[in-house]
Amino acid sequence: MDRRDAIKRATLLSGLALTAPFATAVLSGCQATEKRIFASLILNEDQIVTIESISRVILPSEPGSPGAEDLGLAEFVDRMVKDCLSQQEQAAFTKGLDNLSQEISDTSGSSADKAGDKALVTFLEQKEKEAYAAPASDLPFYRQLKQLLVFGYLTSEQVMTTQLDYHAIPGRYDSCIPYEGQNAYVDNNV
Amino acid sequence: MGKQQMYDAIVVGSGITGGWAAKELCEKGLKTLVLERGRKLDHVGGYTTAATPPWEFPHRGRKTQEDLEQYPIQSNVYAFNEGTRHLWVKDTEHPYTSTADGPEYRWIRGYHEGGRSIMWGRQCYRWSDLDFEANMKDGHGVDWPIRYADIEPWYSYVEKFVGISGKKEGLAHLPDGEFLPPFEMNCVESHIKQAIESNYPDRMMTIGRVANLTVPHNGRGQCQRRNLCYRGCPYGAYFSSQSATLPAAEKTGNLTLKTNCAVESLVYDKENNRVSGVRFIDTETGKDEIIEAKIVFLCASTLNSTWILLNSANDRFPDGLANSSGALGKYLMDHQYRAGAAAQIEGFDDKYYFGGRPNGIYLPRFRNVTTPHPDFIRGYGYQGSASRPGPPGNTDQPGIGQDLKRSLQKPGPWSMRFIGFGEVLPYEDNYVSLNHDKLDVNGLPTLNIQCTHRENEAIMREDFKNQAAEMLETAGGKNVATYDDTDHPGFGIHEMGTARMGRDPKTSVLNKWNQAHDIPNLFVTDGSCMTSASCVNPSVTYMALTARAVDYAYSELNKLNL
Repeated sequence: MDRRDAIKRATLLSGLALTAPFATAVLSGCQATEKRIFASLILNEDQIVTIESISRVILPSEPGSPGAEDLGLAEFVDRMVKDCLSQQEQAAFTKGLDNLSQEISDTSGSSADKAGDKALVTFLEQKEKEAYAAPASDLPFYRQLKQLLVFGYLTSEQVMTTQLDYHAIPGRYDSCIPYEGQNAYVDNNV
Repeated sequence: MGKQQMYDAIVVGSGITGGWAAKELCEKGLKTLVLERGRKLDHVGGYTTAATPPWEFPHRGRKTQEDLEQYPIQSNVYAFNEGTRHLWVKDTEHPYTSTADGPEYRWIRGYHEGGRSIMWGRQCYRWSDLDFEANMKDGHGVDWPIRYADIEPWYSYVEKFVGISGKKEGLAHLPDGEFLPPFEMNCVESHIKQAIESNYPDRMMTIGRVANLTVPHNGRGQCQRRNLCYRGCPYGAYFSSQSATLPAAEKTGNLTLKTNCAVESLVYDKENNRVSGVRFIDTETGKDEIIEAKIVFLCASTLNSTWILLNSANDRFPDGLANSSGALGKYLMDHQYRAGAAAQIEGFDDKYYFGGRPNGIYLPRFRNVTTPHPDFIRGYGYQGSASRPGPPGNTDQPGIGQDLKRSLQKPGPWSMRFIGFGEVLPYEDNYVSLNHDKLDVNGLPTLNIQCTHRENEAIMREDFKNQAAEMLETAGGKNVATYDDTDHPGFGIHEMGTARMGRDPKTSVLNKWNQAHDIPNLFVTDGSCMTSASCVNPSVTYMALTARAVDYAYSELNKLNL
C-alpha cells in the first residue's frame, strides 16, 4: 500500500479527520514507519503530496543532515498557510500548489509523487531559472513556497542544533572575528 | 464604594517612571501605594518565553491572522512576535479613536506590572541645552522651565542605579553619562565610523548607549548576549521596573503594589485645593474604590496620565483636572522614524562576529547644532547596525538540493542600515480628548487622538534619508537604497507632551518640579510632562525628572507645603 492509499484508507476508516496516532498505526502496519503523517488543517491530500514530493528534492535528506521529510515540512507549511495567511492569500496559495502540480504532470507526464527525482530535478531547475529572474516585488508562487520551506527548515531544532552554529546563551559578543567558512551563528531570536 | 487607609503617596503606573517614583518615595520612608492597571508579572517567573527556542513556537515566531485581528495596531511593532505577543495590549480590548485623514495614530501599550519597561528599546541618551533651549530659541512651544544644569545631577543619580553601557565622547549636545563599559562595534561598523568621521567634520558615530549591563551591577547579572530582551531577561541584565526599581522599593518595607487596578480619576478636595485620593476599578471584581494619600504621582504613561486628568474634570476644573491653562491634552509629540538607508558593504567577507549584541550604533545629531539648516529646524540622530544576516533571515535563496542546503548554512553578505530618529515640533492641534460616547470595557470614555506630522517633519525626513544614503556611499557601500516605511505618529513609542511643563501657569500644566501649577500635591513625571521632544530617546530623562520631582515633593511635604 503506498502512502496516498494509506491516507485515503485511513480517512475512510475513521470517517473523520485523520488523527496522527491512528494514521501511524495504519502506516506501521504497511512498513511505512519512516513516513510522517498528520491531520492536515487546510491543504488537501494532493497539495500535501505535491509539497512532499518537491520539498524532498529541494531539501533532501542526507546522512547527518536532515531533509524536508525528516522535519515534517509539509505539515509545517500546512499550519503556516492555515494560521498565518489571509483567506485571499490562502486561496492564492492553494491555487499556486494546484498549478504547480499540474505543471509537473504536464512536463513529466506523471503526478508529483510518481514523477521520480530525476524528472523533478529537471522541472525544479527550470522553475528556479524563471522564479529568480522575476522581480522580488512580484514574487512567483514557487519562490513563496520555497521560502516557507526554507524558513521551516532553518528554524527546526535539528537544523539549528546540527547544521548551524546555534547558541541559546552565547555569553559574550566577539565583535570582529575571522570568517573561515564556519556555519552561521544563530540564537533563539525569531 | 469603599474608602481605604491613607498612604503617604500613591503612584499611578508601575512602568519606567512609576517604578522610579515608587523606589524614591519608599526610600525616603513614605508609605507608598502603586496602582497598576494590568496583571501581575513576576520578575523571571513571569518571563514565560525567555528561553523558548524558535522551533517551540507553533509558527516559529511569526504573526498569525488571529494576531492581526486581535492586535491590529500592536502587531506592527518591531518587537511584536510569537515570543512577546502576551506583553502587548489587545487592541480589541483597549480601543481608541484616531486621526480620520492621514496615517492612524499608533498607540503602543503594555498593560502589566512594569509596563513597557519590559519591552523598551533601552536606549539612554542625555538631553542637553540644545534641547532645553530649543523652544525658546525658535519659538515653537513654550520655554522649558529647566536647563541641563538642573537635571544633570539627576541624570548621574539615576544612571548609577540603572547601569548604562556607553562610551564617553565629550560631545556638548549629547552629554556623557555614568557609563558601564561599552558594547563593541563590529568590523564593518568600525569601518563606517572611520569613513564618516574622516569625511564629515561635523559627524561622529558611537556605540549605542543602552540600559544593558556589560558587567554585573547592583546585584543584577550581566548581559548574556542573547538579544532576547523583549521577552524579559531572567538575568535582570537590562533595566526594568521588575529587575531594578520595584525590588528596591520593596526592600524598604514601604511599598504596596496593587495590580488589576485601573484608575478612573483623581479625587479633588476643593476646600483645600488638593488631590485627596485616587478612584480606581478593581478590574477583576469590577468594584470601584477610593484610596487616599497625601501626594499623588501620575506615572501612567503619557496618554494615560492625561486621560486620567481629563476624566477627573469637576466644576472647579471643567476641562480636566489641573487644567486652568487649557494646555492639557495638547502639544502631543513623538519621534518620527522608520526611514533611512541601507547598503551592502563589500571587502569584509573574511570577518564575522559571535553573539547577539543587544544594541547597535548611534550617530548623534549634526543638523542645526552649530550652523542653521536652510530648510528645517531641530534635528535628528541615527540608530543602526551592520550585520551578516545568516539564516533564518535569508530564506530567499536560489538553488535546490545539497547546494541549497550548504548555502543556507553560511552567513550572507554584510549590510549596514541607518534609521533616522527625528524631532517633532509641539503643535497645539496635535491633541487628545475624551470620547464620552465611546466607552471602554469598564464603562469609561475612550481616548480620541488627533496627531499629524507637518512640513518641518517632512523636510527633515527627506534629509535624514538622503544623508544616510550619502554617508553609506561615502563609506563605499554598494546597492545603497533609501527606504521609508509610512510614518505613523505614535509609532516611535516616544509619545510626549499633553501635560507639559512650563514657566507660565497660563500656558502649561506643570511647573519645573513636575508639580501641577494648579494643585500642589499632584505630580506628573512621565512623558506627558515634556515641553519639547528632542531627537534622542526620552526614557532616561523621565527617570531623572521623576527622581528629582520626588526629592522636591519630599522636601515640600516636610515643610508642610503639600
